[in-house]
Amino acid sequence: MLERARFTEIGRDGIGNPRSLVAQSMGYFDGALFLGVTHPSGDGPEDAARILRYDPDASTWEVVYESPLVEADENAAVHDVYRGESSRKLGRGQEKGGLVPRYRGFRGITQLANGHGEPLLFASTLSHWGSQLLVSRDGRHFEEACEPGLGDPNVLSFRATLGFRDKLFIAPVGTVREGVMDRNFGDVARLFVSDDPMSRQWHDAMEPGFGDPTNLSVFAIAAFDDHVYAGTGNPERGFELWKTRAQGQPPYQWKRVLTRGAWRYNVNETTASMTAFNGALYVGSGLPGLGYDKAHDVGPAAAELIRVWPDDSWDLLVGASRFTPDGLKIPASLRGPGYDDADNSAMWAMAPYDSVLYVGTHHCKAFHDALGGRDSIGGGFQLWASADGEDWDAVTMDGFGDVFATGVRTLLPTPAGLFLGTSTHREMQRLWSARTRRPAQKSGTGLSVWLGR
Amino acid sequence: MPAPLLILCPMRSFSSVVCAMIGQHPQAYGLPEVNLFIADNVGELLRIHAPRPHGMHGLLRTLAQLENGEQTDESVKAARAWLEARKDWTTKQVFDHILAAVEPLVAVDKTPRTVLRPECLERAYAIYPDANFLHLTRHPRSTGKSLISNLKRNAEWGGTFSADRVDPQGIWLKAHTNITQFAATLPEGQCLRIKGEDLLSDPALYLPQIAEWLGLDPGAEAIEAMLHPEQSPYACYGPEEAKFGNDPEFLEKPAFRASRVREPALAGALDWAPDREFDKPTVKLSRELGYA
Repeated sequence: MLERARFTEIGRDGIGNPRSLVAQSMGYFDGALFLGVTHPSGDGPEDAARILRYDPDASTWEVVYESPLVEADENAAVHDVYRGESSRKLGRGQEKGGLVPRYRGFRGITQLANGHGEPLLFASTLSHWGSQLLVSRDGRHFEEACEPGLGDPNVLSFRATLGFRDKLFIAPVGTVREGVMDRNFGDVARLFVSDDPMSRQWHDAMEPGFGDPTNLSVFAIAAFDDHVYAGTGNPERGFELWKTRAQGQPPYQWKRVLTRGAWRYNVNETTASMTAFNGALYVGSGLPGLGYDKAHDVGPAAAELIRVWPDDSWDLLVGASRFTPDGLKIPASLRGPGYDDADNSAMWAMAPYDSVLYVGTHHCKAFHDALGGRDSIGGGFQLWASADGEDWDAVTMDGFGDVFATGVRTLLPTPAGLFLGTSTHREMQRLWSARTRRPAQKSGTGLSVWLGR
Repeated sequence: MPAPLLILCPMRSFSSVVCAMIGQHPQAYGLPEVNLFIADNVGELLRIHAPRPHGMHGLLRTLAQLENGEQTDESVKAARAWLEARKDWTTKQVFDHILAAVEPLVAVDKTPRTVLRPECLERAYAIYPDANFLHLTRHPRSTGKSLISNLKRNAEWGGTFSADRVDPQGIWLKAHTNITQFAATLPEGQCLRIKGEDLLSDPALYLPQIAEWLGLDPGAEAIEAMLHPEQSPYACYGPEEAKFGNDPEFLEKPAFRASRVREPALAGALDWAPDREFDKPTVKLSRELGYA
């Protein structure tokens, strides 16, 4: 297990732009780490999304892509449904007609070989004018590889991307429409597949919503046991998990594996993360927002961790004991939701590395402390490790000593080590300072990247 | 003495049949509504129930059964005298007395009044911190319709509350909010929740899970016994001195009849108030309880 001391901070303060708060996507390509960073709003050129390349041998960062700028229109400044209609608009600093980034973030990075065996790097953008898929052959030059939103300019992002055999799967998540942005849901869940993304030919990989209009998005996809697994977000009934061999012509034949949020219902609203480990698929749940989905009035609730076997049986590892159609479920770790911490609102990222599974959380305490004007601010993400999925040790309980590092947004196992990207919200200091009339606690801002090895 | 199982639910939530079913497990003893957690001592309990004598029926029948081995007018009178002589006893002492009488069986209590006030739930926990709690739910529409229907028969058991004055949605929301907030304070695993509709639709699936959770024998013979709530000594009308103590409809037809219990829709006009639909807080909690 990688203990705390074996993690080194290799990038901090937004890595060249303190407004880069979220290390939202990672990929490993041609011996280097590729990091897609996201800005919470797109106020102006300073919020342009970037792709950063990290050379593990030279320990150097370089910007390999930066979003183009476009003239601001009504989509540049939007209300966030998780903040409410009364909130100030994101992107508020930009006058109409000024320049704003077309992409303010990257939500997914993945790799796929084309028909000639040539490796390609794909990155999906977060855009108020329809998410784009960018492609690169060399990791230095990127070009657009699809129509915005695959023809639907209301699509905010493709959160989940997966290369599986010779196919690329991408799932649209979030919408921008009539001045309102929902980061996590659309009209109905969809998943697209292409066996030749460069041809720009995409097909529905599933029936919309898997036949259920309350499935509002495919939140996470993963490859396991020679299947593609897709986990949905469903604010009304709770997430569902489906699997397919992805054979024949799309849309494929799918089988439902879990439903009703694994019988915890809608407080298990989304499949925030999934990964294969030791012959099983691990599924982490999550609630958007700060542990309470304000837009859909769900929660508050802490997240769960579930293990799914190839025969579709499942174990509750971390979570709430319950009776289910699949038998009595008691958490194998004997830890309740959120690893017994109500502020762990999402199992936000997970990855196996060196025979150990790591789970990083989104932790809400710093937000609640700051917004509530409490005496001090605590919290910080948690990183947990387990060799068997049942006995867990905490690598850190305080964001590696930074309470404003509120989430492990990305975990990527590579030959160079385990990369960990944060979501860091030191702007909370300003809120807290204003509300308590005390000086801010710590300087600096922006995301961090850590390397464990 | 084994700690009891306390079933938490508002009225009209299948609690009579569910309590009797679990209580028929060979290692359990199902009680009628003993109402002991609504007061600190027997004197207070008697005062609370003075205007509503039927509220004491469950406790009187229990004491009559356990003290005298039968429920007759005479044994109920003796039970009442036993209580009158112990007005200074705490309700914990009375419940302990019951637990000792049924030992080594696990006593199963279901008293819907407990959940209407957070202090009653806290009292129950203070008295039995090792108790297991089963949060039993039913769809708010079914609960409301059943409540209205039940209240229309109120006069039969001496009740005076009019169906016109009751807010079924408010009762459902208050009770389940109290329960969920209480359950959130308990250690993981001490309170589990089950939808009554699920349990009654497929008892063969869920009763063994309940037994397993409680550390009771989940074997086929035990489960078969649980399918016969009518075998409970409280699954019939009691003597004139204490006729009730459970849902009258259960007392009239206590045998379990296997069938799928359907869940109605959340959306749409309220059956008892056609100009209204469920409020947002009710919809929110309903979905979190699995009614969507």
